Amino acid sequence: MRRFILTVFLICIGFGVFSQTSYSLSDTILIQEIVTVGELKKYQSGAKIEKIPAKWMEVANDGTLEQLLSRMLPIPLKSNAGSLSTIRLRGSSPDHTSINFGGINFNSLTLGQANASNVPLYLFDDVSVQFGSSNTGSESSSIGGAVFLGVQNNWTDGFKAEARISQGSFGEQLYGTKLFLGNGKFESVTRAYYYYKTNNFGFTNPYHRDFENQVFEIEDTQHNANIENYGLLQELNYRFADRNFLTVKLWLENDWHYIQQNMQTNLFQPEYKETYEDKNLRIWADYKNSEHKLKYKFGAGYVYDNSLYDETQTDTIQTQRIIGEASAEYEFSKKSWLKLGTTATRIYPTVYAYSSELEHEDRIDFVAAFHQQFFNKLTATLNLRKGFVTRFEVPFTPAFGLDYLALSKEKYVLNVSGNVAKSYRVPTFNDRFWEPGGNPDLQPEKGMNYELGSKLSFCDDDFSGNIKLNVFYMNVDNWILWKNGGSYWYAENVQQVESKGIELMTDWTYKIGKLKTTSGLNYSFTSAQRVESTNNTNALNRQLEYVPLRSGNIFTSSSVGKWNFSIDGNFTAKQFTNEEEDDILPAYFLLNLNVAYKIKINYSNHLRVSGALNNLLYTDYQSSFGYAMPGVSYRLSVTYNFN
Amino acid sequence: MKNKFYLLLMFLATSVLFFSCNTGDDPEEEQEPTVAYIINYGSYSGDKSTVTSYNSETDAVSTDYYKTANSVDMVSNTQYAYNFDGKIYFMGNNTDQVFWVDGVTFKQTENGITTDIIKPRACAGNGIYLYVSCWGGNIWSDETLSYIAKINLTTKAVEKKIALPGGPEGVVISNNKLYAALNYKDSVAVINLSNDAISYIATPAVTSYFVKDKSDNLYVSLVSTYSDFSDKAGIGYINTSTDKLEATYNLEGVSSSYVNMMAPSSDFSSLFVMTSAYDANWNLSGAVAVFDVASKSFKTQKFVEGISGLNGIGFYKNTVFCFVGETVIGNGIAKAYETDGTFIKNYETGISPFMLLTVTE
Repeated sequence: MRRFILTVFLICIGFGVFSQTSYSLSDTILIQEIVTVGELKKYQSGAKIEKIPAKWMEVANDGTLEQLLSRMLPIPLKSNAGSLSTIRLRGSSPDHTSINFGGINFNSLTLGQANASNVPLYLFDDVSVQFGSSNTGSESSSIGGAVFLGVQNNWTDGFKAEARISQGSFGEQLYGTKLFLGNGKFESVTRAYYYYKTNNFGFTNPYHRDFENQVFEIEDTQHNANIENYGLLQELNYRFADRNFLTVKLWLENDWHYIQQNMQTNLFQPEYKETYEDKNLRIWADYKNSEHKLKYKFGAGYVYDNSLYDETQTDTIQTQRIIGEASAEYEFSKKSWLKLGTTATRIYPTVYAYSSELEHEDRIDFVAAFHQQFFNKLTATLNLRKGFVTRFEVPFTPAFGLDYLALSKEKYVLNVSGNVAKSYRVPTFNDRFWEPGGNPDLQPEKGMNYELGSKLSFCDDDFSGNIKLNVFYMNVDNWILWKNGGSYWYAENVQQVESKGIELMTDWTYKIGKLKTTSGLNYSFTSAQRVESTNNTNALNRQLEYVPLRSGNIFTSSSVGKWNFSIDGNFTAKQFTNEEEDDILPAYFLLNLNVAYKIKINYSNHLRVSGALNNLLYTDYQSSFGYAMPGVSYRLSVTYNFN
Repeated sequence: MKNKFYLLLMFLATSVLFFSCNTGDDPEEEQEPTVAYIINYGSYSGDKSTVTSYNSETDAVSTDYYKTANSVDMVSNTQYAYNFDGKIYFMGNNTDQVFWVDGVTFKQTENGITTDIIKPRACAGNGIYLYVSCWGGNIWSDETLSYIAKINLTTKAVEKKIALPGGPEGVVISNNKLYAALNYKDSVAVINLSNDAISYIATPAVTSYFVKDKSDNLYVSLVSTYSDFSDKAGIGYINTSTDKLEATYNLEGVSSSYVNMMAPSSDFSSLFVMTSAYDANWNLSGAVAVFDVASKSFKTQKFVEGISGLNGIGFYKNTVFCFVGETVIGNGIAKAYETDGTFIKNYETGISPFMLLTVTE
């Protein structure tokens, strides 16, 4: 905590020094536009959707979604050292946060959650996060929030290429390439990467037990936690007219790792190995025509997911999805729009523990959304969604949002907003069909989300920024847990969780001579409590496990000439790891540093060299109880760009 | 002097005889120690095992008994605990080890055995040897991996690995033979401890746990598992003189738990057997059936029903304890009942309590 305060202090001093200097005129306000999820924001007034700035995408480009989110947003993640990470937005469970790309929600249909460590940022241009319930475009699993991955359509005319090589601590290697080829109308974009990490970092193991010499701690090395991921993202885009185009995306991903063993097993059975492999194929095609008042869009996709534990080929865990989507939007006037849409999905599960009688499941969703602006100041949106699932009843989920321009002055703008959204989650296939223990009669998990927010944007000469404050209340009922049934475990609707809190997000940009700096501070207070449970528990009305009451991060990125310096730190308060009071993960603060230098070889050839030091303070911490995390580590990257 | 000595000796002998004939006291109950230990499995991926002590005189429980005695936590999930020759032996999984504490002080002063111990399940002691059933790896993938580790307690090392395919679970020694319940084969293995020769007793279902009666014969659980379904679940009775399965007694839904799923009353008139059933809402819950040893039949009425998360049962001080752990992220409870099924009270335990251990000196 002291380190956190010290770092905040240092960054604030830096800011103070900079702010006393005179600035030249600034012509922009740093308000991030949602590129890939613009439509979501358009019909969800008052919803909190944050896009990660491009600068930080660049800094985190060698890593995974987990590394980006934990550094840039006050979001709780439960992670091990690189192979598994789950998001717990606003105190919800990992099943309650969806990760989306195109029209595909790629949370596992069997487990429910998505692994943020399996999302390589190298393949994407944009990452946006919706805090709180989302009930448009992301199927049913977005009670707590949603993450949207995007790629930008560049409509390349000619040829562009990028090659990247990155080497880091503990055998970390990344090789990547991006190839852009097109004639302004047709474009092919190929992105591919290969990532490997031996992950043999050192740590202090507190589980050593030498009773004969009374030694109970030892310096240890993580064994058998190797990671090997590779993927290919191919886009084929065709533009018929400026706002009339077809995009096709194909993403092949293979993620393999040794399952990281906890510190006890690592110490006592250093040879112990278990593998886990995910193979995914995701195809999404979109046709959009926004040329006229009646805009329409068709989408179709296919998803193949296969998980393989310890090379046990007989225990198949595989799902296939075929998705079709259609929507039309009519613009009554510049202030009034209506959108109607439907998404149909057929799912074929092939899981060794399911009944062979379960052939497929159909899901269809109908969405109606209305956007109305009043007096140029007030925007209201209404969202209505009704889903149908084979042999399963899902609730009607409306959402209503308002956004009001409270003040608009020369140097600052103040918006206030509010949103109420109902959401649900269809229980996973495992929850319903795993034999034994799955329960087809489970109720859907239901969420209610209330959001109030304000955003102050300011601009004064060379100084601009945003201060965003949100207050939320979320209630999730029918929360599903697996319970001990004696002979086996079974799924049941067990508990109700209330989550409420405050989120502060700030960023400010300023110039001093040639030095341009962007800084920010984010803070989150999340009180998430189990208020009802059918279990006998000591943890009613107490903070939920793996949800820190407080978390925050700070960042500063400065550019001068060809140099860029970035420093960021994130603080996570203590966390309960189970329903008892003893097993608490202590609070921790991580500090990271990045330096980059751009070299222009000639007009069409550029190099970017960057270096990173992570966990600079060598903080000894755990994000998942009993699992070691690395200390200080480095990463060096060279990126070559042609054109 | 000599006469006085003989007189005194005679007096003492008569006193012993007199007291032992007192029908007002139960001699078995008198031998039960004041303190019993509840073993909590903990969480496989989280918090490891703990021990809850139960003092029958003060009617109080205290969790973290091992940590209190040793100042450090256990680093394994205890699969089974066993009192032998003044020590309590723990079969630790993840981390795999056999470790032990002093039976009186609960202090651990020696390091556990990890070499040649892979997924230990249960154990039985005989002389200077401790026989440990081990899965040897992912038994559900390869049933040939399992073995019995023969630990020499003087050298503190595995002296021999006796290959025993089929996933041995509960083990017990009778008539110089080690009986091993096989959880992946419809049999009980019998190992002659003189020459380690193995023979098998065929059973109508896979087996998991033994209770030895006063004649040194065995009750064995016959269970239906996901990988080996059987409609012959219940209990069987093995005559250890003939090594025959003399009888089977069907009991639908008998628990497939590995440890402490049967518990005899102190006079061995009743055998309490853990079972499970769906309730009216199709929720699975635990129950306890009573096997009347005299009539060799199960009572029609369950002893208790509707216990969600039942992990194990125990009998101590004329009380039936049901160990309940609905989840692995919160403490469990021990539910205490009179022998007629009357509920007494709940005691808080550690995470996933599953067995009761009494230490006899």
